[in-house]
Amino acid sequence: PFLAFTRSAFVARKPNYAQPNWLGVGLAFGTSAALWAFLIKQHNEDVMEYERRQREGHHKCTGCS
Amino acid sequence: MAFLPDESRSLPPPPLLNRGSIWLGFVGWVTAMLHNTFNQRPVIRAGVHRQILLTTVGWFVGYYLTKRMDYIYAKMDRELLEYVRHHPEDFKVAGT
Repeated sequence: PFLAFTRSAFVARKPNYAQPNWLGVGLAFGTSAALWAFLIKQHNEDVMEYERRQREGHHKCTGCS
Repeated sequence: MAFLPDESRSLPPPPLLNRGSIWLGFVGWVTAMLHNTFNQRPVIRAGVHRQILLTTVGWFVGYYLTKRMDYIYAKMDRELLEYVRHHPEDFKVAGT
């Protein structure tokens, strides 16, 4: 049999549950904060766009239906 | 069809606290708690960052799905009322 040794960039480690996984915690909180910021921004933009369209008046084009 | 066509922006947007967000946020939270259960961790006290993240993801998806639902129902109502307008003879009030 031909034995080939390959090298890998990854090392197998046992997870250490004694300490918090600060990287995971930071990523989770960071992603949550980013999602909330995006959602709140999107909602405010939606409200502004709706009010803008209300001011412009309805049925400027009757081609839709 | 696009997920949210441009004319959907003419509808009032759902409030940030809406049914879809509440339900999917709750689903996300329960998913995080189930994950704790399967890994034999204390259900509520463990992995709060995961609970917050999954609840946020559910809330986020719920907002967009509620917007799409509002659009689909509004479109259906518009087509229904157009039909009624074009066929008044079929929709006479009883007795007239």
